[in-house]
Amino acid sequence: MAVIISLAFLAVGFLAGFLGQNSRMCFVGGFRDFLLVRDTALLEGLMAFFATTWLVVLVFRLTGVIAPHYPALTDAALSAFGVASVVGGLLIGFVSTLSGGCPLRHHVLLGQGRLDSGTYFLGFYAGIFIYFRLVVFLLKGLF
Amino acid sequence: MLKRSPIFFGVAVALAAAALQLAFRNDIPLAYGICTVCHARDLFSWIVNHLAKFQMDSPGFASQALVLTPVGLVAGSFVASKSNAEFKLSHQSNPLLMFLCGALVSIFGLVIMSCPTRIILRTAFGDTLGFLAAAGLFAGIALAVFVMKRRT
Repeated sequence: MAVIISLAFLAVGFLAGFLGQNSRMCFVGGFRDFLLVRDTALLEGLMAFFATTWLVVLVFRLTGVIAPHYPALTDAALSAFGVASVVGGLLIGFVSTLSGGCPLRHHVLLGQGRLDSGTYFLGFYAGIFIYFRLVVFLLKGLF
Repeated sequence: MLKRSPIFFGVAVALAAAALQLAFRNDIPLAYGICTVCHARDLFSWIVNHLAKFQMDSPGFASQALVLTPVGLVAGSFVASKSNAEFKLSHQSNPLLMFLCGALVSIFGLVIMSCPTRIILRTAFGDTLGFLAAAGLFAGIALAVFVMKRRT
């Protein structure tokens, strides 16, 4: 079972990497391009991704296969994790835009030979290590 | 060409992620079909937990299964860029700055457990926390564009 899951993730990643290289898709690039040069190509991709997932989840809900259950928006917004989500999202958007793309886009850039995306991933995995060694203890008790 | 279209990317990858969600709905967390930060964390923690005895948190299934999405992304992009004759070793930005950006994105991403891709995915799943993160994400992009415009 574990092998099947691994291969499924590999396949989804391969598909996203292959199409991402062809389409130059980026999840922060859509809104950035729209604000900078009024180019909506990537924003359309983001909307297609959102709309397709939304429709599929609607089918999941109606058939009862997967019925996700989430807190109400007001409860979520007033919780500590809700505030952290807004702030965290803001910082991710800010840093990603300055670094030239979302993490998915940087995987694609690394695949096509951009070495500065390689250093991005050295930092990326160092950040994961720092999170588990340090940040997780700083945040303990906050959420 | 169809494969060059971002809309085709959006539809195809969303369907693939949803198919994976459906197939392994009892094993993986909700809205987990595609994510870069979480899957990199799972891959990294699998390696760390198997090599060193230092435990890192990840969803239960990831202690058995090796989550290979980051490998697939780079491999897929490599194959595509080779077939498009776009593969070229190059170097554009300051490496130290890129290192810092990568570290900040993964730390903030782990705090809210999403990369930009999964923020959109979670919002589409109806996750209110994901919606709040998406609101923050778009505000952050707008802020960065404002800063970039001021500097040039």
